[in-house]
Amino acid sequence: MVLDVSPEKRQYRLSQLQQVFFEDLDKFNRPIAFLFDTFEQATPELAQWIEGQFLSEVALNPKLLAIVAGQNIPQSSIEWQNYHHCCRLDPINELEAWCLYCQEVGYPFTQEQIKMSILIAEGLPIRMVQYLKIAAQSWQQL
Amino acid sequence: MNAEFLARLTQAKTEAEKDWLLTELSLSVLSPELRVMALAAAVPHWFDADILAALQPELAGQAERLYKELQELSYVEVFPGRGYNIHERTRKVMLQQLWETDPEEFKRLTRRLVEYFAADETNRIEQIYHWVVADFVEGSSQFTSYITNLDHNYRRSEAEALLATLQEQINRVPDSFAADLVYWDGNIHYRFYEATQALEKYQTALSLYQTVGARLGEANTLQAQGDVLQFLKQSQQALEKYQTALTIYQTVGDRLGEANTLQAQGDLETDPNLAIAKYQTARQTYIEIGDQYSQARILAQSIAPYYRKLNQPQAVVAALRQSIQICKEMNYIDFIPQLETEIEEISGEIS
Repeated sequence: MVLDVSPEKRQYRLSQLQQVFFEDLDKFNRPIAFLFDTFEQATPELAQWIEGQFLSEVALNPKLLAIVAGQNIPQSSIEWQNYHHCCRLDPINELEAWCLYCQEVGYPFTQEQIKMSILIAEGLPIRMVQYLKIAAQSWQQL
Repeated sequence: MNAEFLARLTQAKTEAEKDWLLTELSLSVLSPELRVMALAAAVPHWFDADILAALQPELAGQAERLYKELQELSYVEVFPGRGYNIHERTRKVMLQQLWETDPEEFKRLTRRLVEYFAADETNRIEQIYHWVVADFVEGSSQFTSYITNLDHNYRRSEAEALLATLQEQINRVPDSFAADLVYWDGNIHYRFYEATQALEKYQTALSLYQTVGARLGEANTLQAQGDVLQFLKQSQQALEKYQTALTIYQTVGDRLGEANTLQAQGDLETDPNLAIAKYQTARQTYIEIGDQYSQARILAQSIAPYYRKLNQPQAVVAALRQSIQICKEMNYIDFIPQLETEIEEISGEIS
């Protein structure tokens, strides 16, 4: 509601809000991490703020850390491009990783069966989790 | 089952087909009522036991139990502060499948959600998201009314969220709606003086309206382009847009659009007599269609200032008095003190 005003007032209020927000954060004497998922679903205005002023402030303060995940990610700018690391989340095709997962959730599959599951689900985590769960339920059919 | 599944998976050509096959397999191992509920739960962006009960009233007695069972599924995740949701990727294929195989059931579920969210003003975006599919005529009218309100009140983030959310339904609504969304995106940019982005959006909207033959949308977009060009002081280009818009409004018989365009043309007219003539024609049209608000507005904001420019104070006062009279008739009193102040100032100047 504080932003339901004309563009000029809105800009002023946003800058004021941002200033006090980061001043407040600065009072914490421990590191703070921000985690954003599904960045692609952010509204254009919010996305612009995150990739602009927000990440610029995060880059300036060594106590702050931000993780932004999504099908789109912020375009790096001169203010923070030297402070970020970008990693692509590809399908997980490493057999060891899925063996460990099966062990942790209690699925009694052999390495061969897990290898087969990776081929079927193409290593995509959501498909793997779905398929392994069904397979565990109908063990005979794998 | 596994051999057949593998064969189908091998034949699947797209990622969406593969996702659906796996989802179908996951659904097949569920109890019938949980399967029905899982598919229904994909329709809203999030769900809780109450939403599940509203979606499938015949299973309402089991909603709490099914809600707990749904939480155990691998493709169900927490929706912070509101309950749970089907994972985006799985939800997308479930919706696509439901829409392709049983659009009536899809619409029935969305109708129930329109009713469910009617009780909750805070979820208006979610309600309209379902409304445009359940009943496009009423839903799109609700969309226009809500986004107009957001636009007038500078509620940009909500307007952008509404547009992005409705974009998901684009394959389930008439083609012209895609153009409506881009047109409104342009309006939001223009509200924040982002003229270049607004013009880009309007140009896209115009092409889309022309492709589907939506002439009223085309005229509205041309007029909006004219407004931005006028703001950028590109008067000649603005006049050309207004003239094309005017012709379309006259062709389709949209008299309000016609009057608004005449008024805009008057604003750009350099010849005072022609400007007043445009305004008077526009005003006459407002009278004929019974639009009192626009009559009051054109008298106070176009005709009076123009007479002032022509140094005809008596005509200025007469126009403002007429405007006040109309405001009183329609009980639009907020506008009156400002007009009375102007009359006092001009009367002072005359005396």
